[in-house]
Amino acid sequence: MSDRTPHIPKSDPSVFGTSNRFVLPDEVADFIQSGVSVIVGVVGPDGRARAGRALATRVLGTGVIRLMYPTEGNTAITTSAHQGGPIAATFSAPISHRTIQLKAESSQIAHLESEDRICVDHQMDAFAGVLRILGFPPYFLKAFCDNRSQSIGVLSFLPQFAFEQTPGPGAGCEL
Amino acid sequence: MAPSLDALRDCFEGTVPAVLATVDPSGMPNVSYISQIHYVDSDRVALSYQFFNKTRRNILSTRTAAVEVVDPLTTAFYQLDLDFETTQTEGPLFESMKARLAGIASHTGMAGVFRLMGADIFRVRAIRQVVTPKVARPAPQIATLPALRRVLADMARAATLGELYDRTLDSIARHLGITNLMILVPDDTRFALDAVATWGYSASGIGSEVRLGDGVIGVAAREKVAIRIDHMSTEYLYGSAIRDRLLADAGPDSPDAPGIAFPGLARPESQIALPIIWQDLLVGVLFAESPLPMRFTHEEEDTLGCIAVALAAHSAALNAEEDAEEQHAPYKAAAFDTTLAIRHFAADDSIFADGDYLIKGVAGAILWKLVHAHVTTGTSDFTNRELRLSADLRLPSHAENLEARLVLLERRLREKALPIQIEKTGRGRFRLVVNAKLTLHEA
Repeated sequence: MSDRTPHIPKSDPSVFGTSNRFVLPDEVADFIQSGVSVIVGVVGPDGRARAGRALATRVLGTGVIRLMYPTEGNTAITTSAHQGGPIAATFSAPISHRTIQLKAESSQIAHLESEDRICVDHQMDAFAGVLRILGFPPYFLKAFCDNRSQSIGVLSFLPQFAFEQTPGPGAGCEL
Repeated sequence: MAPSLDALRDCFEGTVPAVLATVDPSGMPNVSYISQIHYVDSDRVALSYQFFNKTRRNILSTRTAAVEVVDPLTTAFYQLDLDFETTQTEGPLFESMKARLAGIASHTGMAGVFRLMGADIFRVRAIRQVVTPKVARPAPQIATLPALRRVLADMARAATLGELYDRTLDSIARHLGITNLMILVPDDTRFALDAVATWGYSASGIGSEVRLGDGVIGVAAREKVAIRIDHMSTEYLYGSAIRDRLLADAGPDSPDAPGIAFPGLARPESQIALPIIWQDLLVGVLFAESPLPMRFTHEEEDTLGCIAVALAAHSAALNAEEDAEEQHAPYKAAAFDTTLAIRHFAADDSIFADGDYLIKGVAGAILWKLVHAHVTTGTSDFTNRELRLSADLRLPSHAENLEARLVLLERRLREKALPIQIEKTGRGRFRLVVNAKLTLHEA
C-alpha cells in the first residue's frame, strides 16, 4: 500500500540539481511512508552534528522526499533546512528492525500542504499502534499523538545516497 | 540553567531508544539509533560500539557526536553534545555495558546480532532541554531515601555476621519491596562464590555455588562492578543450564555432582548484582532479581549500592572485634549410639556426611579441621584466631572471609540437621557440638 500522492507534486525537484540523484525503489518508498520512526541528522552552525525526530514522510513522484516534523525541539533541523544544509534521515520499523538511511547534500524548508497533513495523520496513527504493541503506556502515547496538534514544519530533499541500516552484517551497504 | 547529567539518568534506561547523530569530515551527517547510553559519571557517558560502521568512522575522525534522549516518565527531550575521549574494550565499565546490552538484545530479538565491541566514552559538552515535559513526573511508589535510612538502621542492630546478612535481606524486602535476594561470599581458592543468605526462594540454597564470571553475579564479582540487566538474557541466566554444564564438566564420579541447587528464579526478567567491597577486596555480592522486566533502575542500583557499602563496613566491624578470653563451661563429650561418617575429598575440600554432599572449599576445609581436632584431641571450643593462623586451611588474606565461611558452615549444618552443629560462644569464638560418634575418611 502506498500513500504516495498520484498527482503532480508542487515541489520542484530541479532546485536540488540532478547529480548523484538516487531513484528510490517503490518498495522502499512504501516502507518509509508506512508509519515508521523517522530520525534526522543535520549539521549545526558550529559544524557539530544535531539529532532530531520527524513525524511522517511523503515521497513525491519526482523522488523528492518531504519530512514533516514538530518544530518544538527541532530548531537545528529548521535552521539547517533554511540554509540548504545536508541531511540524513533514517527510517526504522521498531518490530522488524528494518532500517533505511537516506542522505542528501542539501535540504529545503517547505510549506505544509494538505497532503502532508494527511500523511502525518495516517502515519502517526500507524506508528502509535506499533508503540502500543511495544507496551508504551497510555500517557506516553498521548504525548506522542499530541505532536500532531503542535506546530509542524516541513523540509524536503532529493536523496542522493541510500543505505541499508538494518542491524546485522548488511548494515551500511548502499541500496 | 542547563539540566545536569545526573538528572537525566531516567533517559538512559533504554525505554525510548536514543538517537545518535555524527558528521563526517566532508560535513555529511549520519543518524542512527543507539542501543545503549551508559551513565559513567556526572560529566561523561559511554555509548555502545557494536559495529564498525559509518557512525564509528565519523566518531573516530571528528571525535564529536550528538544524542537526543527522551525522559520516558515526563516525555521531555534532551540533546547532548559529546566529545569523544576513548574506547574501553574490557574492564568493569565494558562488562557492565555488555551485560545490559545482552538483555537489550534478548528483549528486542537481536540476540546474536548485538555484540559489544567497545564502550565509547564521551565527555558531555552541553545539555539542552529541547522539548519541555508534557507529563508530570509520577511520585515514586517507594521513597528510596527514607527506605534506605530504615534499612541501614536495621543493619546497624546486627550483633553477628549471620544476623547482619539476615537483617539486611529482610529489611530490603520490607522497605524496598524487593522480593528475591541473596548474599554470596567469595571462595578465592576455587574461584567461586557461595550463597550464604537468601530471601524469597522456595529452597534456601545456602551453599549453592556461582563460578566467577558466570551470570550477573559472577561478572559483578570478577569485575567488582554493579551489573544490571533489565530484560533477561540467556547469556547471563544462571540456572539449570549452567548447573548442567558444570556437572557435565565435573563428570559422574566427581564429588561435585550432587551439589546444592541454585535457588534463583526460573525465569527472571530483571537482575542486579552489587559487589561488596572492603579496602579494594571483594568480600561478597548482594544480588536481587525479579520476574518483572525493568524492575531495577539506576535508583535501585544506587540504593542497593549504598547497602552493599554498609554491608562491607559492618562485616569488617563485626570481624574486627573478638572477645577477650572468656571462660565457658567445658563441653562434655558423651557416648553415642549413632555414628556419622564424614568423608573428605582433598581435591576440592568437599565434605560428605553419611554419603550426602555437605560443603566444599574453604568452609569444607574448616569443617575437616574441626572434626579432625575433635576426634583426635576431644577439643570442641575454637577461636577464629586459631583458624586464621592455621597454615593448612589456605585461608584468603582478608579476615572477613573466615567469619563468612563460618556463617556458611553453620547454616549448612543446621539445614542438614546433622548431629554436629556450630554454636557461637562469643565474638570470634565458637563450639563444635557433636552428638554422634564421628568416623573420618580421607578420600
